[in-house]
Amino acid sequence: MIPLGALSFLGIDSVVASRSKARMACELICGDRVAAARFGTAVSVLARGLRSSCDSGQIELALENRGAKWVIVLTFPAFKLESVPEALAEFIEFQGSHAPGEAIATAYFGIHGACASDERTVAEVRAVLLQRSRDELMSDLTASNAELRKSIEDLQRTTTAKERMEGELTIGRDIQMSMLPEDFDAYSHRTEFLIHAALHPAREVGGDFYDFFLIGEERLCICVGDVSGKGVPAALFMAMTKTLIKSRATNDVSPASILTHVNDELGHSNDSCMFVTVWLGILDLNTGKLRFTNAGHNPPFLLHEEDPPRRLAELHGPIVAAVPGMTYGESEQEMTRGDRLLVYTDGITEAMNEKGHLYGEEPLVDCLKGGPAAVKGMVDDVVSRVWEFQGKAEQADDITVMALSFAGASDPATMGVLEFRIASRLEEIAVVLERFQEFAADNGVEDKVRRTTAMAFDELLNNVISYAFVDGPDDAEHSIGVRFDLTPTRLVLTVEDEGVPFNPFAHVSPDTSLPIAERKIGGLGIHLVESMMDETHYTRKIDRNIVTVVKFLNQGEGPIESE
Amino acid sequence: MQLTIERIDDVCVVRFEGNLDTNTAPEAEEKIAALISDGAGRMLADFRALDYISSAGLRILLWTAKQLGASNGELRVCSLNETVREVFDMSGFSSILGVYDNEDEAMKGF
Repeated sequence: MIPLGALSFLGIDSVVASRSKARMACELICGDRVAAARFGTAVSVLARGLRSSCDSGQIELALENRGAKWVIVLTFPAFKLESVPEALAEFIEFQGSHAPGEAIATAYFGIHGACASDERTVAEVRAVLLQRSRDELMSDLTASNAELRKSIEDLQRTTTAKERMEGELTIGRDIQMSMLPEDFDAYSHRTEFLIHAALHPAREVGGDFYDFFLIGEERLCICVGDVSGKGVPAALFMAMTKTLIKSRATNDVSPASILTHVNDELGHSNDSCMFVTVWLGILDLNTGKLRFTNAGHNPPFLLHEEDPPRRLAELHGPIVAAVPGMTYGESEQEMTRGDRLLVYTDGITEAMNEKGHLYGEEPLVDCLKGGPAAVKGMVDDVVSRVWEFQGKAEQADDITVMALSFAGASDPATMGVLEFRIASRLEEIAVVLERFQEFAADNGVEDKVRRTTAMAFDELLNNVISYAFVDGPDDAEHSIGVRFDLTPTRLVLTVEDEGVPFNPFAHVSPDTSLPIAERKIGGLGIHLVESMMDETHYTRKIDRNIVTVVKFLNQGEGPIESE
Repeated sequence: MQLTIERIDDVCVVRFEGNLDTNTAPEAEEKIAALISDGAGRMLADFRALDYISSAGLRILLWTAKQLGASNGELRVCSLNETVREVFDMSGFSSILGVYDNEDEAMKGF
């Protein structure tokens, strides 16, 4: 038996191609075009029948000499009987099974007359059978092109979608991180305290947050929170919580009252049933009194001298946003010079190692006992020990740590406060300046600070009296609150009025480089205040404008520790 | 606020004492305006005894300098304390008025 090659019967193109290939092969062998046409038709009908019967396969062709007679032997997979009977009529013999999958079947096509079985003819026949028809090639090409295009498109689509998502998450992370105060030197001029914090989200964005800011001159507000869940939903809730706390805290000095308010706000429109644990403390920098509210949060640790770390264990209500209408309580704790406070989230105590063990509170306490005294050192040490414990295990939750150290209450002898009200008339400025000069003399304020501050007072009051009231200046109906605060490091002026919202610092600086003929005086006063005082602040509180300007003093104690 | 006026040669020397601010500026303005209408052309403002100056005071100085400049006169200032000097620098007045260390320096070539 001389094998000739095979014909695929899969695909419509293969069936069509099998007819012409079979016809050509047969004609090469017997030279009989009629027989070849019959053979071609029979093969294509067989192929079509097999296609509907079998999942895969091909028809193998061979040439066999049976004594004086030659036959073309077709070998193919077994098939369902009903699918090929008409084709079988052309074959002189058929052997094999009709049951698909069981065996192969064989059919014989008899050749009348001479048969070319020489090597050259057989080679030609093989070439014919091997040849892929133009249609087949075309369809292959089209198919592979389409496939290629589709996979490129798919790739592009998924890449773009993934990139966009990743890009948005990165932006989300940046926005979230930028919501957290990261400049721990922002209050470096405040010698009363030092603060440091770190937050490591488990995913791109997370639900932990911390915050610290001054409320007025005397109070430092610090808070740490942990929103249920992780990822984008937690991040959104975190942003809301942090913003609500801060905006409330500027008009409120009670942690209980702040959280009661925030709880109501968050709880009333909380369809997704999220919640947040919060520890919020407000430290009076003059007295060292720390008032705090713990709403379902991990108790922080207070480190006092060489005493073992003490948990501030008091709880004042449930997690925030769960039960609107709740009233939270608060506790008070005295902090003295050198006392430190560590506030953290459960990402620390519930950090898990590769064996599935939790970090717990004890290692944290141990870490605090012998750890560094400086706030940054404390934070870094706590975090790095957790990393160490965690090993190669994936970080399960956001990790947040904040450390505060208090430099001690101010000595009342070095402090001065003077507060009074004046009528909104320009002549009253003279009264304020006279009282200020007395205040400065009584408290030994150095000349340069005194002069600059007097100048600033003149400018600010002139500004307020001239612009804050719609009725214009010299309206005896209105009064202005004036306050001087002297601490060992700062002289603070506060001017408070009930006029229209007016931020004196929201203006364009005058061009101080113009020649004399073109110079105008407008805006110059505020420019001088901004240039010569160390800090200027404006806040609108409900119905009042509050302007605060600060001049640093070159005296007083330095920070209690250096970083 | 007190102003002492002395004529040295052709120069009108005005010595300031106290503060030049919102409440004292109008009085100073009145006195200086009177000097200008009396024909003062060159004026030296001596700030040796001036404690501080605010923008209301700067306004008087600018007005004076413009008035004198219009009649080919000039305003010079001298003896600024550290704070007044800073106000002058911050406001750009150091570059639009002649600023001198003391009266003697200011009178040279006036």
